[in-house]
Amino acid sequence: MKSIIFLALRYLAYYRWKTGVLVAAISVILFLPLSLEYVLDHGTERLRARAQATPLVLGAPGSAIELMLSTLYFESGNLAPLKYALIDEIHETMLGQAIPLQVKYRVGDFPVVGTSPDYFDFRDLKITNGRRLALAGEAVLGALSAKELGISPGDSVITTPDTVFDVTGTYPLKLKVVGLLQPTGTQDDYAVFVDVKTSWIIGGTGHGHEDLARPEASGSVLKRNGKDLVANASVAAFREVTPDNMADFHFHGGVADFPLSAIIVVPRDVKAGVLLEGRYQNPNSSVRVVLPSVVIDNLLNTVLIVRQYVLAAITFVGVATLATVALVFSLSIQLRRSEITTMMRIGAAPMRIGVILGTEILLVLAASVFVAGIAMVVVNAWGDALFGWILMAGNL
Amino acid sequence: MDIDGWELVTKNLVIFIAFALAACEPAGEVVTSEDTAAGNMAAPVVYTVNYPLAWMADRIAGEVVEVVLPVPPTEDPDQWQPLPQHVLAYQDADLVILNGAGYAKWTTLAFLSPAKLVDTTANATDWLVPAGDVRHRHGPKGEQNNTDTASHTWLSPDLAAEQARVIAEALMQLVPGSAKGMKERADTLVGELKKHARTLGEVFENLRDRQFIFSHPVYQYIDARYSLDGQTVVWEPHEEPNEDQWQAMADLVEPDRSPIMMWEALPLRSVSDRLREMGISVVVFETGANPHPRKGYDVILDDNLANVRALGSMAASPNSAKAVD
Amino acid sequence: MICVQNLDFSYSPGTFQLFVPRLDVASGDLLAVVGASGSGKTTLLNIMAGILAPNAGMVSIADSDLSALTDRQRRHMRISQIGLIFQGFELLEYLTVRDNLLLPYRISAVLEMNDDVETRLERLAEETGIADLMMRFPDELSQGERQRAAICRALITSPSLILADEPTGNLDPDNKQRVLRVLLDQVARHSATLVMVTHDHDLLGPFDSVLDMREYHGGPPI
Repeated sequence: MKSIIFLALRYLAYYRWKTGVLVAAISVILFLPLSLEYVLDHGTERLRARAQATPLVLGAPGSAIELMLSTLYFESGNLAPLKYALIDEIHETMLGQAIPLQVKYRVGDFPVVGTSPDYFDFRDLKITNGRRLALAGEAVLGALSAKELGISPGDSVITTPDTVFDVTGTYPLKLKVVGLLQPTGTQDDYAVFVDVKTSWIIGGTGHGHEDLARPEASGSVLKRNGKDLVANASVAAFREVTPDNMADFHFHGGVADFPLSAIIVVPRDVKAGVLLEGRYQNPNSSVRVVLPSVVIDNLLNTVLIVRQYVLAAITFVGVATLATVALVFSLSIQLRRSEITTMMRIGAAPMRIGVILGTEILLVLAASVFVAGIAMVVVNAWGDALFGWILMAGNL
Repeated sequence: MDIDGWELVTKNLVIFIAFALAACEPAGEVVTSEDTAAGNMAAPVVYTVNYPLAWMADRIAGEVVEVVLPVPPTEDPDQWQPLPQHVLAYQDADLVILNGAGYAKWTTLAFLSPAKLVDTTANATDWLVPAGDVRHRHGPKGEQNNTDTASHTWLSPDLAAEQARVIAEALMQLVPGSAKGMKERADTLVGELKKHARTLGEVFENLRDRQFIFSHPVYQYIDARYSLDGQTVVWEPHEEPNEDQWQAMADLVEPDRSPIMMWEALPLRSVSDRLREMGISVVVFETGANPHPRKGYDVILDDNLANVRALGSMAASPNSAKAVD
Repeated sequence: MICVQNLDFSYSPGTFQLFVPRLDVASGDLLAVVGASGSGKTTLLNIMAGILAPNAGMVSIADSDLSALTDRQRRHMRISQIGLIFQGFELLEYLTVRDNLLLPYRISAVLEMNDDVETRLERLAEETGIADLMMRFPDELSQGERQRAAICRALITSPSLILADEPTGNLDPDNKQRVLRVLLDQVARHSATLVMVTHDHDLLGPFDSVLDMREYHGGPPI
């Protein structure tokens, strides 16, 4: 057997380019469906895990998928806002915990997620550097957003304005970064977390400015009626919250009416979950309840159908490639006719020659499997980062 | 016989490959497992924003919860600007009792869990009174800023009783196993506060025709509850007013109504003397917002009642002033 | 060494036919086989090597009647007792000279490679002047060097019979003589019998006998 393997290896090594091309072609055909399966399995597992870890989501009526993308993946869409009063309403039922989410703004490519401390406990997010959020105007970054932005605790980030030229749009707010989160392998790694009140400040619902009652501010007063003032547009709002100006920050209107993108509801128990679901299932209600696992399952069923088509295409290409490889082997054997004749004339048995040729083919296949295996090991080792990049690139 | 045996070679090659491939086996599956963590059973920690609320919580559930008021004793809890570490301590509490009505404005910008917050005046909006501060809006159609509410709600004992009831409900939900005892203690406390409200009402009734001047804009609820119809200046107990302030006081005072000036703490002797010369009685009515080094809030309530009652016994004497320990 | 009696061979009826009534080659003899193209020279060599089986007659090599052997037995005998040299050298392009020389041991299940083989390899390489070329590939060698390597491959198993089919056919005149000298020298050293097919009558001098194929074939040329 040693001699057979020796002769086979010598042949393959001598014609290394041909061998390399064959190994590469077969490796790709082996790797493609395996990697597709891995990425899809890994991806669907992660999508499902995140959806299954999120019991209920409340949102405004509309696309359930858009609500899921906003809640689970912080994709800001065109959802109508909910009112913050729902948070207290849910807590008063004592059926579960309500976690506010306001996802509307960005720091560059990274979503600003306005929420409450409960979100961090819910997703088991831990600080790796710095400290937790304490006050409005502060931000805590996910591991990858911090890395991409090159930010450390003590630095600042500035929110991205809606548009440069829309004077009625949101203006940038400078956020002080106080902490960085441990990596989680989820979309949380790409977020900029702030107090939901900070997101209201970014949106202009709350702000800080000079005290209009002071004589120095008279130029900013449009009209005065006793203790009621109407300010004009010249009032300059503070662009960051600092210890010196924090006392001057305030909100206009009632907090109960302030907007939220969605509310994650964590029921106290199964029965409470059913009661909460029933409470908001009225189709005429201004609030809809969604089970993320159901929505994601429906979405993934569509993805899996597409997968079948892709796998069929890969199989077709694979069969064609393997047929081509078989043709190459066959032609190669034809071209080696005189070599084979010589060996037989010297005294080699046809069986042995067949085994030598077969061993060459098996060695090529084995090398292809090895290369595909190495590639899969790499994909497995870097799968999280790869999938995170896919999530980031696809905003999914 | 065929010279080169191609058929033999091909046949043997196919058989060999088929045999080799049939020897390959599929890989096994990988199974993952989950683990869980045990919980922690430490005593619940309750944070408050001022001393009266802390006192109420302690009265109701002090045996089963730890009540914390982290405001430094020299700071006005309403105006206090906590450091981040203070806010994080509030964040870690099991329950945070808020006064509401705009008290401790820092809480509106603090990162706290709504599930842990108890606004003790959230359902008492009908009882809230304006602070009388300047309000503003941006543009003719803008919303008013929402900071114009008087915040020292507990000074009205009836409102304090309501706050105590809300605190009791929250504590009973926090430690349901001790709910029965808490309910009893809460009922007792509410009864005491309501009795205090009635007694204080009787005392103020005796002072019905007197003019009340409040040294600081903190007495709105006393004013409203007992219809004192008072006026407010901004004088600090430890500061000597300037001449403009004295003049404004002179313009304000109605000597024929035997004016009474209500203070959070005893003013400077010189100030008291000058007020007396103007015919203004001085009464100390502590807010109790901060813990007192030597007496609890119940003693503060009694002292306030005694001080006001003493005014009634000295109704016609402009030179009386009640000293407070 | 070789005894042929009433050998009758044809590829198919009505085609080329070879008939050899009697041929004896003693051990250690040098027999040259000459004849026109298609006269059956290579066919006779293949029959002697056991690659082809005659339709009738007896071919005995070293007292073994080839017609009484199975294919497997003929292969074993061929690889262990007969060395073959081809006109086109037939070295495997992807093996070094050394590996080409050892090829019989790699393709045979009956031959065993041991220290004696290594010793024989080195000696053959020295004697044929290719000791410095052992790690080269055939396409790096001249025609004469290739044929010398082929000669070594044929002798590596110490065969008793060498069958050479036009071994100098592709060589220039200088190389022809040189290669022939090497071949004859090795045959003598090994005390082997040599049957060599050749077109070149200038090379017949050293041979003990010459077999002219004109006498032994009939029918149209192959």
